[in-house]
Amino acid sequence: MNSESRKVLVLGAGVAGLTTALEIARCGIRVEVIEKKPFTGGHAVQFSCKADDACVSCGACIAEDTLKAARSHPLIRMTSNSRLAGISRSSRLVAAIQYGPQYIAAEKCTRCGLCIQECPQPGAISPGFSGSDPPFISEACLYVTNQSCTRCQDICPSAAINLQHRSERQQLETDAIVIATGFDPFNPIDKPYGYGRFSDVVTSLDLERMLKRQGAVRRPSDGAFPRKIAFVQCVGSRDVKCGHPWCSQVCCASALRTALLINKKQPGTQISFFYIDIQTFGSNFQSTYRELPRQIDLVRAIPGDITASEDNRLRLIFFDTRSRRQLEETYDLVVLSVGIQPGRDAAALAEWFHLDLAETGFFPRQEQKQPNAGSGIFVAGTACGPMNIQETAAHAARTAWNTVRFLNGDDNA
Amino acid sequence: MAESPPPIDLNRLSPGRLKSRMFSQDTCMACGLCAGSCPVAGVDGFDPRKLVRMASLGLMDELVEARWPWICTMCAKCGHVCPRDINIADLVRSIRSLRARDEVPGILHKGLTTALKTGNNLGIPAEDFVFILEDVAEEIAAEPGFEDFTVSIDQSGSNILTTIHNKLVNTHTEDLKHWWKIFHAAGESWTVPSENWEGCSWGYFTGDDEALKIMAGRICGHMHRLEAKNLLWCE
Amino acid sequence: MPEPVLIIGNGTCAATLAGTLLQAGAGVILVYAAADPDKAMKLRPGPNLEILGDTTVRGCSGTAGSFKIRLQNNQGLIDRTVSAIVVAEEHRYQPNYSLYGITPARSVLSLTKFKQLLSSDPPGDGKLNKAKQIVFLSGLLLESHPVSSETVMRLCLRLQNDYGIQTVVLTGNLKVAANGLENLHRQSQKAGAVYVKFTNGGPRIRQSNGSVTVDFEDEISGQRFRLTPDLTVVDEMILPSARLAHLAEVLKIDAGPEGYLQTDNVRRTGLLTNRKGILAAGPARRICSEKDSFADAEAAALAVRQLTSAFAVAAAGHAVIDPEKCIRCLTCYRLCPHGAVIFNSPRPAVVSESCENCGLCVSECPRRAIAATGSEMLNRAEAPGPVDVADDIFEPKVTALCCGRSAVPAWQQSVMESHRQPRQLSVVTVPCGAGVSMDMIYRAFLQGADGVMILTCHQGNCHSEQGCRHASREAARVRDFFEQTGFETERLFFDTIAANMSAGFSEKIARFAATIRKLGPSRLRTR
Repeated sequence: MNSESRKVLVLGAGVAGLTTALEIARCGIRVEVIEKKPFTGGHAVQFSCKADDACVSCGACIAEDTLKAARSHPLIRMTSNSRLAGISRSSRLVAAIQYGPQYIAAEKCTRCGLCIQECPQPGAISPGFSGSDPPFISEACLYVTNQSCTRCQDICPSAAINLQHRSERQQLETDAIVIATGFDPFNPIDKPYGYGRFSDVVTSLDLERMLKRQGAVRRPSDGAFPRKIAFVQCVGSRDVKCGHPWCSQVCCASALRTALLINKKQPGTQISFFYIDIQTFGSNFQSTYRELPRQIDLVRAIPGDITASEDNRLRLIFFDTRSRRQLEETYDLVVLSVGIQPGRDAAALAEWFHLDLAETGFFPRQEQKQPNAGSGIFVAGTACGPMNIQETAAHAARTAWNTVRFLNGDDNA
Repeated sequence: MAESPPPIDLNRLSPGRLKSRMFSQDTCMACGLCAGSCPVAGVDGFDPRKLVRMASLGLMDELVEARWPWICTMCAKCGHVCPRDINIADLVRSIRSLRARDEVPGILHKGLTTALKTGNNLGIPAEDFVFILEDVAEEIAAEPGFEDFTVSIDQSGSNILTTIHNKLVNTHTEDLKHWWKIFHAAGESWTVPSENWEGCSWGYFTGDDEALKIMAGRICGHMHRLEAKNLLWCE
Repeated sequence: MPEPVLIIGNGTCAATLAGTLLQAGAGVILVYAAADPDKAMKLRPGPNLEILGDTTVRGCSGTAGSFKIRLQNNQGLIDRTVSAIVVAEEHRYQPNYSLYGITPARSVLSLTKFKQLLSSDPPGDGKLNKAKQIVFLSGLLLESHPVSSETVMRLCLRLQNDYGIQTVVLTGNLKVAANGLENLHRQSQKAGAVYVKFTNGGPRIRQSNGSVTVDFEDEISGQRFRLTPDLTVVDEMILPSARLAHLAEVLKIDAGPEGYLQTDNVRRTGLLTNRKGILAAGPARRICSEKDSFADAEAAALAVRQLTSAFAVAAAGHAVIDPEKCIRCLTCYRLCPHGAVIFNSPRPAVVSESCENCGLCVSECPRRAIAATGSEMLNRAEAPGPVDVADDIFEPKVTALCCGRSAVPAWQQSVMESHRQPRQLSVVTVPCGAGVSMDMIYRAFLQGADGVMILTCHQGNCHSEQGCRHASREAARVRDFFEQTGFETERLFFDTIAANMSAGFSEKIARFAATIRKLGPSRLRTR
């Protein structure tokens, strides 16, 4: 088979999917990427930069870079709002794909933002999370609801909008499939922390989005700058009870980098960090760690309960090891560092592809070689378990290499 | 200044010690959730995490001799929240069970002996018990809307059989009224046994499995004898 | 047939890499300074594999696809041409004896020594049969790393299960942030290993006649304990190979502060260094486990393959030196962050495949002999979007010199998110902060700007490593000049930003516009 006709299907357009796609395309092989969400870039593209003046190596901007490169690579075709609907095998793999409506053509859109400014229906057109991604049209759109408005289509200077576009199912022949469907964040609704009940209890992902969108941290309840913030680590990680006997590996780094940034951007904010063991991150962790106690109140205990105080603040109850007493401390904002858990589609995908999931519910992390390489099905990134952005990119490169070797037939399987 | 005791020699720990223990205390990672959740942590030095830690280090004698493990109310919230799934309440019971019975603190063992002998922790005779219940029932019947209220004792075929905590017929009779009134309002068929009605099992509380078995057996006996459908065991 | 790949390394990572590349059909030259006796390479020279032991790298010229390498061993100098270079030198381990105030003895071993003891035949050399208790000192005073804690946990599990030895781990923050470690921790606990964690302070460690006594207060129970272990195992600092410093110099690679051949710069994804065609793998780029080494071998094979691919899209454009203007001062040759300027004869030239188009040579060339092609160096865009400020006050013209990798996407997203922009904002795209020159700043003022803001990537985040520093230096020089001439220095402002800081962009530019609004129109405006 010559290289022009070979094709790889990548499921998921997060850091893993985009990196795998890019690495494979750079070897001269066509790649089709489908993403079920209306935007591409995954979780990471929603994360904020943690730098004040010097980069702290959180890696969030990698998602932007990768997305930009993948969007402009001639051998990559990328569609959002689309999902795998079935899989069969002839001489090649045949994927049934349900393509959602592509109202805004990514290749034509110049990201001028005019459609968003002119849209009469608030929230109908969302700007997305990255300048490399086109805006996306939601269910709230007047045309989608009752065909009563075509303003954006009429005014788009580059004729990138087609509101008449419809969802369609297509068969796609492919030679290999890479599962890069990522992870789901743990939902802390059942933990005794009042998430979903108290609006000032937020998850680490809520905080990321808030920082990115607003450039500051505010209390969701009243928009005020919080004077005291608590970070609670390991919510849904290192937790046998909720079936997560693993460390999510990214939360200590993310929470501490964010805390240090808040300290710089919103001076005077008091921050407490409730933890079990602080995990190493970054090549300069030793010096970062030494500086931490000067800026953050490090408390080696996980709080038991969060209740509301009389003045609408949040009361944390925890056991203080030094005084051997249970203490109460009141905060304006509580951030739950939620863990990484397997994606909700993992089990269904595993069944479709006849793959066995690991005991953890993630796809197995092949250490030396993908054992099912002979079948042309590969897995990349956090679908295999927790990893940070840089590691995800590295893992995706490996998967790309295995895929390319498989396509070249020089896999000695 | 008091002289601090010499350090404990950890070399006495035997690596085989775990295999003989049924508890998972050794997997504690000291996150502190148990102590942060415990309603009595810090009271007289009680700390569920410390208890788990000492058990894990094999300091059972020290734990058995200490007074503070008896502060625990056995609510078991600690084990419920424990991310390593350690059954801390069970561990507390085991530690308590290792104490000689005559060294069980307070009235617990005396009350248990009384309960085994008389059917309740206070030794209230059956006729006094029935008198108190009927007295409370009369008070309820005096309230508007409850004119036809009566207490149901030893009624066969009831939907609910309830036990009684001894303090409800001693100092807290008002508390009986609340749920009796709810039964009445709901039109529920319910009953109370006239003997061996004690709901507060100090056999459970002091780690005395034999006593716990006897007292639980009595309640089960009521269920069979009175052909009740559901048991409401109020601690 | 492309030239072979040069692998520099002495252990598992280099050997795995060689194996992977050979399988993929590449030729390999494997060079090492001294063989690591622990890690038998199990490779035999063949038609595609040349192995050169006791050999050092003396020189490197050329660029990706065709590096000229000069090697030296007891045979003398050897010259080779290679398509790519992968450095894969193993870690070196420095035991923390002195950190804990003890010295090595029969009963005090480093983690590496202890592993050797356990893998000797028979295991333990008799020492383990008599031992009842072994204490591990791990991550006290200095923070540990999952690679190290994994070793400790595995040893505990094995000692408990196979030898019935009581293990005690004294540590600070227990590191479990790697695949399977939390589970391993639990397994070792179930097997009986005891972990003592310290938050403030640590154990008191004493040594007499070789043997160690440890006194400590357990934070959880508040009890004081004493340990007199049969063996004490001391953890190690995992450090980059001492040879990396020399290699960084010869290969012109930016080493990180710890000495690895990758800085902490997130732009160096995978195995990339600042030079195209030169890769850092496994323990040459960060602390890594053996598994990570295997992974890097595959990533390296992929990167090598992409070197010859037409679809490995390079930077849009590159610098070109005008031979008429060049005076051969070699400023460009010395400064190029990517080693893309070669000087063979008679004058320097830019190798387009290696050039990242950062523009540093363009802005630094004293003769203005270098131009960037292929990209629009000055792509001026009037910003659309909702605008700030009422009509009745002075509305300044603001020019933003924006790095295309960070400030431009941040601005674009900021417009999309309907953040307010100054009414008269023009955005000038530069491929990198390294391309910002004093010329460019003056030109912006002369073309009518009331204020000029320079926005580059954050320090340590520049794709070309030096863009942020360079642009900030150029700005400082212009401000100095402004100060001397009595022109308002506030009209020029340097700041840093990232591509995902859309809200940050509008915040920074609004603050700057407000400053300029107060200052009024610039005197440099040509009327």
